[in-house]
Amino acid sequence: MNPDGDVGVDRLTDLPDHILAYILSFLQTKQAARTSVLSSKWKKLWTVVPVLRLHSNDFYRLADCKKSIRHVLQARDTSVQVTTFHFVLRGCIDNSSGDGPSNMQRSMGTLKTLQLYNFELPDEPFASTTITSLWLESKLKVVNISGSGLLELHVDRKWEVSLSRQCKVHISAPNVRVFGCFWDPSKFSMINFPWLQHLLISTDDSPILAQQYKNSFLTLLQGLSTAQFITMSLNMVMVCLQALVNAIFPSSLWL
Amino acid sequence: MSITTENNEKMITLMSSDGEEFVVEEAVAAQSQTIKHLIEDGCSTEGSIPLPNVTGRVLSEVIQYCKKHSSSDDKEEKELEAWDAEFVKAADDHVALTDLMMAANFLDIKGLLDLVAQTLANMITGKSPEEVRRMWNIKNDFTPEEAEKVRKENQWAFE
Repeated sequence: MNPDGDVGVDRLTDLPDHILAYILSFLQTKQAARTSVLSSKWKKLWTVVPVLRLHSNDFYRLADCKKSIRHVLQARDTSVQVTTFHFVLRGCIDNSSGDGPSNMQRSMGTLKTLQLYNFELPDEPFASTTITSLWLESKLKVVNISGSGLLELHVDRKWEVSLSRQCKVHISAPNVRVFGCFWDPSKFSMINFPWLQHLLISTDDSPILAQQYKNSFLTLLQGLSTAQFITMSLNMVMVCLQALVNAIFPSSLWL
Repeated sequence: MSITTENNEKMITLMSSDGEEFVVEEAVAAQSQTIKHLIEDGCSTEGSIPLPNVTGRVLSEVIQYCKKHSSSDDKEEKELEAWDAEFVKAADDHVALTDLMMAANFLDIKGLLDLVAQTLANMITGKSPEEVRRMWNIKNDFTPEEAEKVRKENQWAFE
């Protein structure tokens, strides 16, 4: 019994469609699609949700997860564009089957935020003019990233596994304001972000990696002198302090 | 009606749909983009701001949220999160949450909207359609044939 005494009234379904779609945007897309069977009003609601969240853990087999991407893209109401795609996947996406990144972008013309985790993408340039926020924590073979609209870019070191030693990543995104680098910076051929405001660097709190990447991180710092804010993990701070001390007292030992 | 307190905080009066009046600091009320715009457009000078879509009961909860969130700029984020969790728990009644959702939408308070939407989404997560229907009194108006068809179309989501 609630204070208004209106037991038996379906207050959830009474909410306007756009609010229900907003609530569904917080659910995994698979869970949201299940609401289609609730009643006729719910049937198509999940197809207008502008946020897609797919996680391979929600599927028994990886093939089911890949299949579901196609189901989702086919069922979606294309008059409502996807703004955020949050995708966590273990395994490899096969572009020939039509679910590679370019196809996703074609299906979602106004996609603004793309977050790809544990995700293997095929060897093709990654280009987008609409995406403003890109998070790559993936085993990408992509060596070209371009996006004039990119304001925020995060790359994680899990990437490096599938890149050969000599391989360099080219980033052409002149408008980036926030750059998160959780990866060996020497892997980037050149970084030029004239409008950078915030730089985040970290090595997952691994002192060994911090040492290993020391020189390339210092080069990166010198190259990105416009940054107003820098966030770094403790081991990166230690590495930078060490470099500073060594520069001032070349013969001293760092304890 | 603009009143100024000892601390020089500008106060404004909000009036709920059922005529209840709430005197709050302007900074607190301005967490609502809707109210902020009304103030900017000079709608508050002629007395109180009427909010025809929000009852007094819901408005007092909304103000409670806005007060907490306007005064805790420098507070620990964790403490605020814990407060939020308690806040939605106190309104755990389904009706209260949907009312809060409508108010947050009308008043345009992003933080509250997200908090309540997330809470409602959590209540759906992991439940079978039958459980969700029972929980919210959702009437299944599909014919058996229609139900079968919709289920088939979305079979991937049930695997």
